[in-house]
Amino acid sequence: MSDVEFGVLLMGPPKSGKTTFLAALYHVLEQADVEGALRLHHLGEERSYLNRIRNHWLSCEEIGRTPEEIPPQLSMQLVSSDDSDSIVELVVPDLLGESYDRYLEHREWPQEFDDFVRKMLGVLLFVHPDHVRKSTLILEVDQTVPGLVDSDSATDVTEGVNAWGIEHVPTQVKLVELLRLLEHRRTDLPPIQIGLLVSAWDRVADMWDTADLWVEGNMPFLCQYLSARIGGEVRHRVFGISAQGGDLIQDRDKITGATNASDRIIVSSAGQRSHDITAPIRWIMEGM
Amino acid sequence: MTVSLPGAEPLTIQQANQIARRTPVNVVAVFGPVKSGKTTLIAMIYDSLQRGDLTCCEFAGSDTLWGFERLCHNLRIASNRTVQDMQHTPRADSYQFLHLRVRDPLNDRRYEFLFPDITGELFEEALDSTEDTESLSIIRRADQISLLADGEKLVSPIARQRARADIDTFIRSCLEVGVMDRSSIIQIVVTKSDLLPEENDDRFAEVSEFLQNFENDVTSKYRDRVGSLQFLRVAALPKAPSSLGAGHGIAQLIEGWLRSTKTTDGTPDPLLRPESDREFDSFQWRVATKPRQDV
Repeated sequence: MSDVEFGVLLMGPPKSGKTTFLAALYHVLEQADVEGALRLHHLGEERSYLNRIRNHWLSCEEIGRTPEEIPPQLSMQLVSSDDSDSIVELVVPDLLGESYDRYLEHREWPQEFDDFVRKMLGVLLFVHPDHVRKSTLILEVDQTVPGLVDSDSATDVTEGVNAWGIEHVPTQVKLVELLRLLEHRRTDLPPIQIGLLVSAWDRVADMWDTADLWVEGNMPFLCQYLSARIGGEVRHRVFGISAQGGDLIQDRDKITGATNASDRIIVSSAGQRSHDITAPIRWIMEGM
Repeated sequence: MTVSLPGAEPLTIQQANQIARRTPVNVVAVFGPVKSGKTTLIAMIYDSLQRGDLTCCEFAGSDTLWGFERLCHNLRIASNRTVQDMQHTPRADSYQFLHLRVRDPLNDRRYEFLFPDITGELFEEALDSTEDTESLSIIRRADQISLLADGEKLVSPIARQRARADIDTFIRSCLEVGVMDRSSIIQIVVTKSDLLPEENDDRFAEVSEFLQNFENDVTSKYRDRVGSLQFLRVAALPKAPSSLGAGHGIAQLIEGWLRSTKTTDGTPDPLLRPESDREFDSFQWRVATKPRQDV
C-alpha cells in the first residue's frame, strides 16, 4: 500500500451534522456492505469514541454532544474498494465546530490546522437546514406585520441595542469567509475541491428537488461564491445527506425496518441517489 | 503556535493599492451631501447580493466582509433595534475602502470594485472652497462617480432648489479644477425615491416637472464635458409603507457600473504611484495618473 496521498478536511458550524455523519460513515466503512464505498484502512485511538456514536446511530438515538467525550481531533485513513493504492486521510479537527468562530473572530488558527490546510485535497463543508442563520432587515418585519413597529413614535435608544459581533453574521457569510481564508493559505498550491453537504436532507427533500436548489434558494451568497470562482478552476459539488434516514420519531418504523442499517442512509447528488455515505470523499479523490 | 490570517475589515489605502497592483480595479465613489444615503446604498448593495436578489451580477468574493456586515447590522433585527439606523460616516484621517468582486453571468467576466468611505462633509466643504474641491483626489481617481441627490429634499419645495444647486455647483467646481473631466463616468442618483410622489398624488406633476427640469439642465450643461452622464433613482431602504421593495433601483445602478468598467483580465492600474507608499499623507496622496479614456 502506498502512503496517504490525499487529505480531506471535514468541517462545519456547531450542530451541522458532522457527528451523525461520522457515526454512519464509520458503520459503512466497518461493515463494507455498500457497493463501491470506501473501506477503512487505518484508525487511531478514536475507535472507542466512534464505536460509541455508531452504537447510538444503530439504535436510532440522538447522538449527544458532550464535549469531554469528544477527542480533540479525529482522523481515519480510507482506501478505495477497487484495490487501487489510493489512501485518503479524513481529518476532523473540531467535531463540535466551535473553533471556526474563534478563527474568524481572532484571525488566527493553529499551526497544526494550517499544516493540514496546506496539504489537503479538499474540504467537506457541512450545513444543517435547521441551523442556518439568516439576516432579516428591520424593514422586512415592518412590512410583514404592519404596525408592529410604530416608526413615528419608536425611539431608537442605545439601551438594549446589540453591538455588532461575529455571532450576528449570517451562516453563509461565515462559510464564505472560512473558504476565503482556506484559499488564502494556499495561493501557491492547487485550488481545493469543495463538497457542500446539506445534512438532515430528509427534512427538506420534499420541498426541494435537489440539494443544489436548496443551497441556491437558502444560501445564494455562498452558492454564487462557489460558482463564480476565478476561472472556474475550483470544483465544487453539493450533496444532500441524511445519515439518519429520516426523523428518529416520526420515521422510526421506516429507519428501523431496514434490513441493513446502511440502507437507511440517503445520499443525493447530481440527480443520483444512493446509500454510499463515502460518495463525497470519493468525489474529492476523483478530482486528482 | 498559531498562523495569522488576513482581516475582513475595510482596507487602508495601502491595502487597496495592493489589490489594484495585481488586478484591474474599479474605484466607485459613492458621494453626496450628509444624510443623502451613501452608506445605506452600499449596505443595501451588499444585502441584495447576499440575498441573491440581483440578476445583473453575482457575488464572487470580498476581502472586507466584516466591513459590509458592520454596515448592515443596524438595519437588521439582529441589532435589536426597532428603527433602522445608518450611522453617519465620520471624518477620518484617511480613506478606507470596501472591496467587492462580482461576476457578470452573461459573459462570465469578473470585476473588482473598491468603494472608498467618503464622508458627506467633504462634499459640503467642496461647495465652499476650491482648495477643498482640489483635495478630492478620490474623485479624480474614481472610475465611476455616483453622485447622490437626496430624494427627500428634492420633494420639498423649500429644500429642493438648494439640493439641485448643490449638485450643479459641485460638478462645475470639479470640472473647473480638473477633479472631473471628459473621462469622468458620472451617475446622478436620486436616493430615497420611495418618498417621491406616485401618480395618484397631487404633487406628482409638480415634482416630476422639477426632476425633469433638473435632469435636462444638468445634461445640457455638462454632458459634453464629461465621459458619460446617467440619471437613476433608487430606494435602497424604503420607509414603510411603500410599494417599492428594499434595494429598488440597485440593479440599474450596478448595470451602469458594469457597462463602463474594467474586467479582471485587463491591465492593473494602481491607486498610488510607487513612492506614495512611503509618503502617504491622508487625503493628499499622490494619485497615480488615471489613463484618459477616449470619449
